[in-house]
This record gives sequence, C-alpha cells and structure tokens, in this order.
Amino acid sequence: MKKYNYIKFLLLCLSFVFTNCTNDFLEVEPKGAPTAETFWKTEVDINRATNALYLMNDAPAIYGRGMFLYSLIPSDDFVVGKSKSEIEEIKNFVTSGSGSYTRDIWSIHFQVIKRANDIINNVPGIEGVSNEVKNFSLGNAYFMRGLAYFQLSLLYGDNRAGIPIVDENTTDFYMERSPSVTDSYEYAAENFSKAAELLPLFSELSSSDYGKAHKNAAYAYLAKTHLHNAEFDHNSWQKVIDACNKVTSTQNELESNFEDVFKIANNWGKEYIWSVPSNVIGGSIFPGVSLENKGWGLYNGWGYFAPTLDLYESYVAGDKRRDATLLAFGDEFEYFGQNRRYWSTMNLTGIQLKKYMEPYSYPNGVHLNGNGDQPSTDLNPPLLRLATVYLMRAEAKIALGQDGDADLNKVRVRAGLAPISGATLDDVKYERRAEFAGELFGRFEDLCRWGDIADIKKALSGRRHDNKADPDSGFSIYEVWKPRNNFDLVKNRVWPIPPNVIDDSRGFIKQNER
Amino acid sequence: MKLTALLLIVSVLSIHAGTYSQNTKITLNLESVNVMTVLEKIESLTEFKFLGNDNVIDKDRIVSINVKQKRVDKILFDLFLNTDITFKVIGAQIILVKKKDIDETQINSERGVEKYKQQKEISGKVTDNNGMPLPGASIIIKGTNTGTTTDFDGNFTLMINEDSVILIVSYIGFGTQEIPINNQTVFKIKLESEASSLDEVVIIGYGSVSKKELTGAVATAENIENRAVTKVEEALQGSVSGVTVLANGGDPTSTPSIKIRGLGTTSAEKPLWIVDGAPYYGGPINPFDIESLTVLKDAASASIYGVRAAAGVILVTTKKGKKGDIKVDFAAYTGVQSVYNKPVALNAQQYTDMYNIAYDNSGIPRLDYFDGVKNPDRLVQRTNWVDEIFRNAIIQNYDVGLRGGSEKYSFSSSLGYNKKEGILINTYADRISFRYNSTVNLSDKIKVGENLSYTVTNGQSAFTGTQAADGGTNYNGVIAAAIKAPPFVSMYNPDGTYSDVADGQNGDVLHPVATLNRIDIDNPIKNTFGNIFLEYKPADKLNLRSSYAINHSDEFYKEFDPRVPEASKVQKTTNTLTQIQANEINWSWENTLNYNTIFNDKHSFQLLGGYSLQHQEREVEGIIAQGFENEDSNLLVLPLADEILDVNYSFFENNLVSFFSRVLYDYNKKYFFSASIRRDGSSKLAKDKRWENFPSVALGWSLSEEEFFKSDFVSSLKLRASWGRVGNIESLSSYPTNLPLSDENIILGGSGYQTGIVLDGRSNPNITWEISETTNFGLDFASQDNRWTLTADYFIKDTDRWLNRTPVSPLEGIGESPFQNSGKIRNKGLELELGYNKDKGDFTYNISGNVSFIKNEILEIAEGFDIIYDNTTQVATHYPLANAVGEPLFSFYLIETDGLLRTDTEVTDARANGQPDAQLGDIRFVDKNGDKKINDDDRVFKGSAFPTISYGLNLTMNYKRFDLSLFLQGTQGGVAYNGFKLTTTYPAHTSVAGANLLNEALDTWYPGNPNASNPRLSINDPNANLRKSDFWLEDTDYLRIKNISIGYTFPDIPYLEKLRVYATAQNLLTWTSYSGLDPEVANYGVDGGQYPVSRAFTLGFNLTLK
Repeated sequence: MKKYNYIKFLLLCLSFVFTNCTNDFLEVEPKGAPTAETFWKTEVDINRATNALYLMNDAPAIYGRGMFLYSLIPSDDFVVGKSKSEIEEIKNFVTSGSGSYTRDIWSIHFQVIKRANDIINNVPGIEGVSNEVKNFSLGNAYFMRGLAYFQLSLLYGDNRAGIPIVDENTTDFYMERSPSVTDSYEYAAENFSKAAELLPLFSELSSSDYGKAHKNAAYAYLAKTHLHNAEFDHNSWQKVIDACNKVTSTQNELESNFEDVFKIANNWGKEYIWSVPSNVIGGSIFPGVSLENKGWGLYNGWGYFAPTLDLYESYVAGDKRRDATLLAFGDEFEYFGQNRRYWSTMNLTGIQLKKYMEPYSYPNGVHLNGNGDQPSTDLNPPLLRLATVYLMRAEAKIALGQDGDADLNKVRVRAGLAPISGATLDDVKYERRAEFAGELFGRFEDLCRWGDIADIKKALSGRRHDNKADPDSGFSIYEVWKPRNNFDLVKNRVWPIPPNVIDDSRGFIKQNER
Repeated sequence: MKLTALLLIVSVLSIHAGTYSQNTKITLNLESVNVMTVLEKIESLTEFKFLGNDNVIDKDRIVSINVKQKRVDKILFDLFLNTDITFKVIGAQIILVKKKDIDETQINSERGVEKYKQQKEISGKVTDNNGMPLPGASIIIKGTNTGTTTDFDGNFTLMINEDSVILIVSYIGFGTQEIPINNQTVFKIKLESEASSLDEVVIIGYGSVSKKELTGAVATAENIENRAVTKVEEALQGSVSGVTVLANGGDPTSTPSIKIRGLGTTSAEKPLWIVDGAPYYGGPINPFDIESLTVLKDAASASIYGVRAAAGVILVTTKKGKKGDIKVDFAAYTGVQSVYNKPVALNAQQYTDMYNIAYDNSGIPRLDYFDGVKNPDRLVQRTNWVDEIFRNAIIQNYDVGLRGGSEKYSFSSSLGYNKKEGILINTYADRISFRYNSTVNLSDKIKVGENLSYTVTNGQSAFTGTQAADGGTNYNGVIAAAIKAPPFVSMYNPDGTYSDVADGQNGDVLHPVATLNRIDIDNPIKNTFGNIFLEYKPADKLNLRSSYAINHSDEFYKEFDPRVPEASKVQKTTNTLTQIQANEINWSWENTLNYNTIFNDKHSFQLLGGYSLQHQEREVEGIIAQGFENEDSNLLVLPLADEILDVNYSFFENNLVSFFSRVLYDYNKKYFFSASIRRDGSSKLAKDKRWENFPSVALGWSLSEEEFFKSDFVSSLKLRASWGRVGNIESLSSYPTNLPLSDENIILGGSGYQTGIVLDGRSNPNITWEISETTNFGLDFASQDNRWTLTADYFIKDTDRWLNRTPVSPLEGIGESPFQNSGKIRNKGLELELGYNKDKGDFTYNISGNVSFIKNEILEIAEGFDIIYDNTTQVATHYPLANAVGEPLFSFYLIETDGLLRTDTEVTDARANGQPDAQLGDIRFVDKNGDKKINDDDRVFKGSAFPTISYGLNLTMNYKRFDLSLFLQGTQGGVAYNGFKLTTTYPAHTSVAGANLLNEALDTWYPGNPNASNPRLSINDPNANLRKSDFWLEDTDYLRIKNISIGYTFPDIPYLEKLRVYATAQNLLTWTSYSGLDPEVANYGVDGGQYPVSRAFTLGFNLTLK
C-alpha cells in the first residue's frame, strides 16, 4: 500500500510538470499577420480595411468582362466578337450562369458586403481615431454595400424575387430572397443615403484617397438606383430628381469635348463621378478585352465585343459621339504612336469599339499593362459620370410630365447637336444609347426597363468587307446575328444566379426561373 | 536484417541461468507425441534449453513417456535410447549431438592419451552473415561432448585438446558449420541464416517484432535497389497490397501520391514517414539508401503514432554499417525515356476540312479563313507541334556507398546524384543526396547514434493541364497548346525568331515550343535532416531511448517570365521576376522506455512508454518584380527591376505533444495480444478541444502452434484481429481557431497596389480531431518450407468527424469556407498477398501477387446538405465532382447520355424530350427526372476515379548467375473525365476560336461519316453536346508492364565482391481502353491533359568492392 502511494505521488508530480510544460508549448499565437484581436486599433487599420472594400476593381468577373458580357452583349449594340460558346449562350439567353466569366459575380459582391459589414461593426468602437476618419471609412462601407446591392439587383433581381438582405447584424446567413427587387433597391438606396451623409465631396479628398467613395458618387448612385426602381415604384422618379439635384448643386460642368471623357488625363476630371480605377498593373481589363483581336500583332487584344452596324447607324448626322465611340473601315486613329487607318481581318461587323482606345495611342504602350493576358490600362473606364446624372434627371422629369429639356440639351449640345425643346422619352432613349454605348449598365437594361422588346429580338447586322485587310475595301451588309425570338422579358431580363450559389444555399435561394 | 530477435532474448536468458541445478526432477505424462513436443515440454517445465542442429534429431519420431519426479538427464537417456543421438548438459543447456561423433572421439582419445592432456585455449566470435553477434550459439568439438556457448557479444573461449580437428558451430535458425581448427587460436565464425520469412524481424512503431508475432496489418517492401526507380514512392507502386500509388503523370518534378487503404478524407491525407524511428520531414529519400520499407496499414499498428497516422505510416529503414570489413558499393544507371502515347493533331488539310464540316454542320457560311482555295497556304503542312514539344529524355543516376564498422562503431554513408530530363523539352529534375548514419557503443549499456542527410533538388516543369495551381481555370496547358497551334505555321520566322502562331481566327493559341523554351525556373530545395539518439540499457530488460530529429528545408524559387514578342495569347511587352524564399523547420524530441520480460518461459511482455514533442514552423517571403531592360540571366536581379509589383510574407507554426504506451504480450508464441494508447495535444486546436486519445487493441492466434493442429502442408497459420483509432488534423492551418487576417492587393487611384486587410474566412473554435477507426481481420499462412505464403486482411476503416470545407452560405461573403467536422466516410476492403517460391537448385524463382479490393463510401455529410459539390476541381469550367451519402468520395455527378442521334426518328424524339435544338449526330441526353428538360436536375452519380481493385504481380527468377524480374501492375473500377478530349476536339470548347483539333475530330459525326463515335463538330453547339455529361467519362482500367529487368552477376572478379549488370524497361506496355494520354489520371480523375508517363529503358550496374 505504501509503495502504491509512493508511485501515485511520483505520477502526480510528473503529470504536474508535464501539464505545465505542455500547456505552454501548445499555446501558439499567430505571427506575421494581424488577427481579429490585434486588428481594428489604428487609423492605418481603418484605412486598410477600407481599401479592402475595392476588390471588385481588379476582378475580371466584375469590371473586366463578366458584367460587361451581361450588359453589352445581350443588347442590340454588340455581338460576340469571336466564336466563344460561353458568350454566345449569354447572347442567346440560354446561359446557365455557370460559365467561368460570370460565375464569381455573386460571390465577389457578397465578399464586398461582408467587408463593409466588418467595418460597420468594428470602426465605430475604435478609440483614439478622429470621427472624420471613422466617418470616411463608414461612408465607404455603406457606399460599397449599396453598390453591391444595386449591381446584384440589376443583374439577378426582378419583381419575382430580389436579393437576400444581409446587414451588419446578420448572424444566420441562410435566408430566402427578398420578395421583390424593390426591397433590395430600397436597401441599396438606404445605404447610398447614409454614405452621402458621411462622405466628403470629391474635391475635399486628398489625392491618395482618389478612387474611394465620395458624396456625389453616393447621390448619383442613389439616383441610379431609384431610376431602375421607378419601373416598379412610380414614387422613385421624384427621388431620382432629388438625388440628381444634390449632385448638380456642387458639380455641374461637363467635359467640353465628349471624346475627352475617355482620356487618361481626365480620369479624375470634372465629369468624373465613379469609375474603375485602373493602371498598368491592374484594374479593368475591358479596354483590352474589347480591343481588336491580337491588336494588329502589337498587343494581345481579345476581340470579344463587336459593335453592330445597328449601333453605328443609330447616330444622327453630326453627332460627334459616333466617331468618338466607334471605328469603321478607313477611320483614322492613333495606335502605338502611329497613325493608322482601321481595318480588321477578324472583326465580324467591320466596326471596333473606340471609346477606350486612347491608352493604345501612345508610343511603346507606356499606358498599357505589359502582360497582354491582363490587358489593363491607365484609363479608368467610367461607370457613372455627370452626363449620366443629367440624363437620369431629364428622364425622371419627363416621366413626371415635367420639362427635361435643359438637362437633355446639356448632353446634346456637347455632342454637336442642336438643342431641342419638348423632349420626350424617345429623345432620352436616343441620347442614352448614343452617349453610353459600350459603358456598363446601359442599353440592355434600358430596353428592358422601357419594354422595347422588339429592339432586343431583332436580327443584327454588320459589314462584310471584300478585302478585310484594306481600309478602303467595299462591303456588303449581312445579318451577323439571327433574331432572338426566344427572348422573354419576364424570364430573360435577369440572369441565372450562379448554380454553385444555389447548390450551397441549402435550398434557401431559389433560381430565377427561365 | 534476418535476425531472430526472439531467439536472441531466449538465449540471453538461458545464459544467465547458468547455475541451474542439473538435479531438477520433473513429471511427464505424454502419449504418442513427437520428440520435439517432449523437448518443448521439458523446456517449459524447467529452465533447460535445448541447443543443437535441428537436423540432428528425428523430431517427428513418435514416443510415449510416463515418468514421475525423474531427473531430466535420465528422461533424455531413455528418450534417445537406441537412437544415434546423445546429449551433453552444460549449465542449463542441453546439447544434442549424433552418437557417431562421440564414438569417433572415444576412438581418438583411446589412441592418444598423451595428447589428450595437452590442452590449449581457443577463442572466437560467432556472428550472423551481417556481422551481428549471435549470443548463445553452441560450439562443440567434433567427436567429443566438450563444448561451450557464446556470450552476449557472440564471443567464446574453449579449452581444446591438441588433437581436436573440427569445431561444430550451431545456432537455431542458422546452418550448422564445421570449422577446421588448423592450429588457429582465434576464430571469426559467420553463420548463414536459415531463417524462414516468418522469423524476419518487422519494424513496427517504436520497436520491432518477428513477423510471426505481428497482430496488425503490416506490409514490407524490400530489394528496392534492384528496380532502378528514382523515387521511393515508385518502389511501393503495386508491390504492397492496400497501398495505391498514383504516378501523377510523368512530370519529373512531381512526386507520386500514396493512398493507404482508400481515400479517408477530402484533403491533406498523406502517410506519415518515419525514417529509422524518427518522424521524417526531409527531402526525397534516395532509394539506394533504403534497406526496407514497412507500411503500417491498420489503425492498431499505426495508432502508436496517433496524430498524422490516419493515412497510414511508412517506416523506412536505411542501410546500416556492419561490424567487420568496410564495404564500398557503387551503383549507376542511365537510360532514355520517351512518350509512349502521343496525342495526334489534325494535319493542315484535315484541320481545314474539319472546320468546313463544322461550319456546314452549324448551318453557318464557311469562313474565308478556312477556305483552302482562297488561302492555299493554310493547306501546307509545316509543323507537327506535338512532335516538336516531346523528346527522348536522358535519365542518369550515380550512387556510391561506404559502410563498415568495428566493435564500437559502425557507419554507413552514401552520396548520390540523379538527373531526370522530362520528355517535354526544357523540363527536368535533379537530386543530390548525401547520407551519413553511425552508431557508437560507448559501453555495454550506452549506445549513441545519428542519421544525417542532406538533399538538394532542383527542376522545372511545364503546365500541362487546364487547372492552374491556384485552382483557377487556365486552358494554356502546353500539350493542348501543341494540338491547337496551326500546323501550317512554321516554327521560326526566317530571322530565327519564333513565328506568330496566333493569326486571324486562332487568336488565343500559344507558341508551344517557345512556351516550353522560355521556362526559366531555378528552384533549389535544400533539406538538412539530422537525428541523434541515445540508448541506455540500465538492465538487460530495460532500454531507454531519447532521440531528437530536426529538418531544415531551405527553399528558393526564382522564375523569370520574359517578354513575348510574337503574337499569341501571352504576348507581353514586359517581363517579370518572381523570387520566393521559404524556410521550414520541423523538429521532434522523442523519449521512450522499453521493458522486455518473460515469465515462466511462456509469458512474454514488451512494454513501451514514451512521450514526444514536435514543432513545425514555416516562413515564406516572396517578391514579384517587373520590367528588366536586359533579359540576360546574369542581370535578373531585383535592384535592376523597374518596379516591385508585390511583396508578400507568411509565417506559421504549430506544436504537438504526445504521450504513448503499449504492451505486446504473447503466450508461448501461440496467443498474442497487444494494446496501445496515445494521447495527443495540438496547438492548432482550442484548449478544450486540443487533446484526444487514440487507443488500439490487437489479438493473434497462431493456430499452427496448437497441439490439435497437425498438418504436413502447413508450417504456420495465424489469425489476427485488431481495432484502433488514429487522428488527423493535417488539413487544418496552424490557426483555425484564430484565423489571421490576410492582406490583398487592391487597385485604387494612383499607380500600383494599395494594401487591403481583411478577414476572409471564419474562425472555428469548435474544430477538433478527425478520427479514423480501423477494424482489421487477418490471416497469415505459410506452407511447409515456406513454399507458399498467403496473407489476407479484411478491414473496415471509418473516418468520423470528417474535416471538410463544408460550404458556407453564399451570403456570408467568405472567400474560402472554413473546415468543419462533419460527416463520416467508410472504406471497406480485402487485401490478399500470395507468394510461391522455389529456392533450391540452379533455377530458383519467386512469384508473388497482391490484390486489394476497396469500397469507398460516404456514410454521412454535413447537416443540411444532400450533396456537397466540389467547386474547385474542374476542366474547361466543368465541375463534375460531388460528394453525397452512399457514394464514393469525389464521385462524378453528371447528366447521363445514351449515344448519338443517328436517325431522324431519334432526333424527333429527342426534340420532344428536352433537346429542342437536337440534330443528327448530336448526343442523346437522358431526361432522368422526366420533366422534358435536360439540365443539372438530371444528373446522376457515375462512380469515382479511385480504383476498386488494384493489383500487382511480381516474378523474379534466377538461373545460375542470371536474374530476371517482371513486374505487372494494374487497377480496375476507376473512371476519368476525359477533359483533354473535350477541350481539344471541339471548336466550341477549345477556348481558342479557330484552333486546330485532336485527331478524334476525324471520328465525329457528319453526313459522310454516320457511324462515327463522337458527336458532330459545330461552331455554336446548340444541343450543348459539350455540357458536363457522362459522355466524357471513360473507364481507366489498365494493366501495365511496369518494370522488366534482366541482370547478370559476374563470377569471381579480382577485387570485387559483387558485380551485377542489368537492363531495365519501365512502363513497357500498357493495356487500357482509356483514350486519354494516360489512364493514371491525377486530379480526382478530372483529366485536362496531364504530363504523360514515359517509357524508359535503362542500363546499370551494382558493384561492391572486396
């Protein structure tokens, strides 16, 4: 018995030593990266968390090509520039949403929403940092959460179902879609309103904050959100006007020359409200994606977007915007420091989108990403600019039976056209098509909004040149895309939610029925 | 290492019983038993041990004996009365000898009584053929009953008469030798082992047992050096049942993956490597250094390693120095490898024709681009790109080994160099390996030793599949690129620069040769592994061992991506340099205590207790820089870059503490029992989830040792049963409970990136051990003389608390789902190994075959899910894999197809059933749910890539000095998704508009080819023939002549102990119906066109200096 006690005592001692040693040995703190406990302390932390909201800028699925494919390709302005079944399925409204170009759109937006919620939850409680800094960060968070909901609503929501609403208090992420897209538009609008209150004007930003949200961006997107919601809720028209008024109260001068809007020098020019910050390292690759396939041997253009002859011919005589937006055979342009006349052996329509080609005009490609597999440029492709605000307000006023002439004419006159009076919705339609061709969220969404189904369904044409390598070659007009009679406004104006989202939602998220 | 460890222990004990009384009296009552039984009975009742050559006595003679309290020597006298056997009692040992020897002695001594008195002392040492001392060996002067036994170190001294002529040296399990005395006084006697394979010692976790005593499922591979393999993993392929080795293609830089007893979980399931007793994290092991490989398959064997053992344990024993002469070994081989199954692209004419057919099929006017009349140049065949990217590649290997030792010290060292060119141009891998092992006996009680190895590997490979390393889509695999590149384009421009392969319609192709030649990677990985141990034997039965092992891995990676001037998908006006430095340290400190004892000669115990500490840390720093004016390789240094694009850093560390103990018990070598328990604590887990116990028990019953079991055919038969559990948290990062934030490069206003910091995941404080539990039933059989051997095992291996990245809600906004413990997986299997050997005469041979049947099934998945889709493994953005209850892990989940639509009726029918755009030559899809729509709702499970049957057949033959070995290996029951065919045959899915096609395109349906096996070519694929379906699924069953070798060993060459030359062919022939590049598809069977396995012919020699 004594012996037993002795052993027991020894074991106890041993286990005591071991327990203490091993417990220390097993406590390992992460090194080399902040953790939830060590982060959210300083102004630098806040700034970096705010930066992280902008992951969409560099995402090919968002402003590179994914959302451009969903917005430009289904319209009557563009056809698929080279054979590519995934894009053809979008054009023909038979896509399943699983294609690699678009399957990440949903998840990236919800990443933005999560990051915004993290800021909204953590920033207010940080001590020792000025309210100015906190408000700027919070304003960015609300703005980007609003932008995420606006874009998702436009792509995936309609009056059958909207986007599930996640906010900073959400803990159970298994939820159903909101009953209608109006709910998610309203949620986006709420966020933009909060952001507008918190954010400074662009003119008050230091240049190191360029690219981040500012007051007018919030108001302008508030207007845009209401514009799209107006189809479902007539009360929204007045809200469009109110928000636009806020913008123009501090920013009311367009670039004098339409073409200058799409120049690197005017990335932050007077017409800037919101764009995709880009440079030769990253940002939007859309300028390269829409460039001539292989860029005449000098640059790896991708040639996915071929403007239709329908778009080319929609411009009235004297509209300067046609030649600033499009290149047809024989048109002169600067390319890698050389004057060149347009021809293309590959383009299906004989027309090239010129709007974003200014970065390609410089010698040695100094404003281009040297890696043609990620063809970003120093140009920030605009997403929402002052002209958008004027045309939104014009449309809203006309919808409410008011006079939209002044706003409409601002845009018209710059394009070299005579001012009109008694402008109607049809005039707005012309201006919007001519002004925003090749820009994100324009023609297709507008046609759906307006119910102009015939324009979507009709056959599209292009020019077939006799000698495709000769800028002076003659051409015949041919049907480049068959009529798309299968288009159903109810089912096809929105896109299928990526199937992996449906798969992972445990049955909560229902697919858009097609 | 044929060492009869058990006998050693028995003999040691017997020596210490030297004062045992010869007057012991016993009672025996045995009816009709054989002599051996009587002797064993005496052994069991007394401390007497019988020594002597087994052949001396007629063991099978049946006797009856009935005595009461009779002295042992009297009993023996009666027992051997009227036989030619007599005996001599020395201490507690009884030596049995033939009577005629004694008669001669008597005659001799009668002749020369004078000489009888002149005695002298002789001494010597008895060892086995490896120089290990044999304690307890008997030495008898021939013709006398005088003799002695060796001491613990195998030494003996003996007084002999001057006229003694011959010593008879014997030891159980070894051949008896007669040694002429010839006036020598010091003898070095080497006995040749006669031990059967069942006496072989098998290394188990923290110890060793004889194969007879095994209770778990353990398999061993030996003679690795004879197969001319460059990697250890290759040596295991097909040679051990239950072990599936997947070659992962022929990429010289890749390592084959090993799965022991099926897929137990979804990620990070790698076997634990133990080299000479220490956990090994070092560089690749040179096969030249390996003495044997042991695989612990069941949990009962592996659970002593607890954590990290869930996927099985591979124990490596390296070659050791032996006491005695210094030995110098050389080995060298060289050979040539070539691609054995080269894909074929269309030639220029076919390329044009098939595209025109595709346009016709689609009802779209033919393009000028594909008009051979307007554009005759495109019909000129200029380059066969596939031929241009492959080459005959040289493989070379040189090894030198130096081994030896003395009483106190033994060492083994080796230096090796291996270089393997890849069969794709500009790819290679090389390895320099150095090893030094030594042990020092500081005293009888203390032994210290160390293992040191240093390896440097380098190499570069090419991207061949369609899935980028980060899981992203990439269709630039170089083999597919060689199919897609236009055949009418020359390789070079007249000025010697690479030609523009991308013209007109085929915009996104790459120049395949330029792509390969531009690969510029320097990736030296230096691993320094050291292990030092101390063994202390305070008493004979007790052994303390402490060992510390550390590995430092110093990895450098420098990749330069030059400018690409020619028009192609990757045309670039800038260049980038990626430079990464990584350092990883792993150390472990293990302390064990062993106690071996035997009670009453029958109850044998091996007790083990121990604890270990392990630590892992890894630090990675990387820089990406851009814009080098001059691309001269001497000027590619960071300060000369225009711009630093990105700097990144990561660090992690984790610790593990373990306590373990085990008891091995047997009763009279008849009944075996073992039990172990290990308790592991890991720093990766939260305090309250950190510790887990891993117990095991095992039972064995040697039926053939039973009295009632008598058979002339069976020499041994044993039944085994075991149960145990092990853990796995390898897949977890170091901090799953406190996830660090990650930094991202964010493009905002201004140039370059800005830093964004974000928590892109979710910490999971509840995460805990994944548990793998195995129940095993086994049988070992050997026929008389070990002609036939059979080992059979049946197992059920359950993985519980499966660590899986269960998808989170798509609304949570997390980049990567966190690991959760959810679900259960079961692997059930049967493993058989059958061998036959003929080892006598000029012609000897050995045939062994093994086969494993494995059924893998998911029993439970995460709550709330019916199916969890694999959203990472893809080819051409088809994600064909999913996990669901009742199906194997990583099963294909696809729309079923039913051939092609070949008649108008079939087309009409298809159009009415969900294929509105169907035409002749399209695929017929099966509308499983009958909703008249073909979509993802019609998917069904179609099996998995993991084979259900794996087998190997090994034949070795020796005729005089020639040896021949043949090794066949194969699998059945696996399927693969032939994405390579999908992405290179159809214009609409090449991802490269207008690309050239694989010759499968010729076998597509068109009006002139109605019996084709593939659906029609089209430009726009209106019927979605190319959607994810089982049309692309093919069986990967194969049988391969993996290795065939023929060798010749030269006789008696001066200065040489041994010289063998040989020729080997690897992957000589493969029989398979799989139409892709190789049936051994990695990536869970999703085949994007991986680096193909090569066929190799090598010549080599092994040489040992005298």
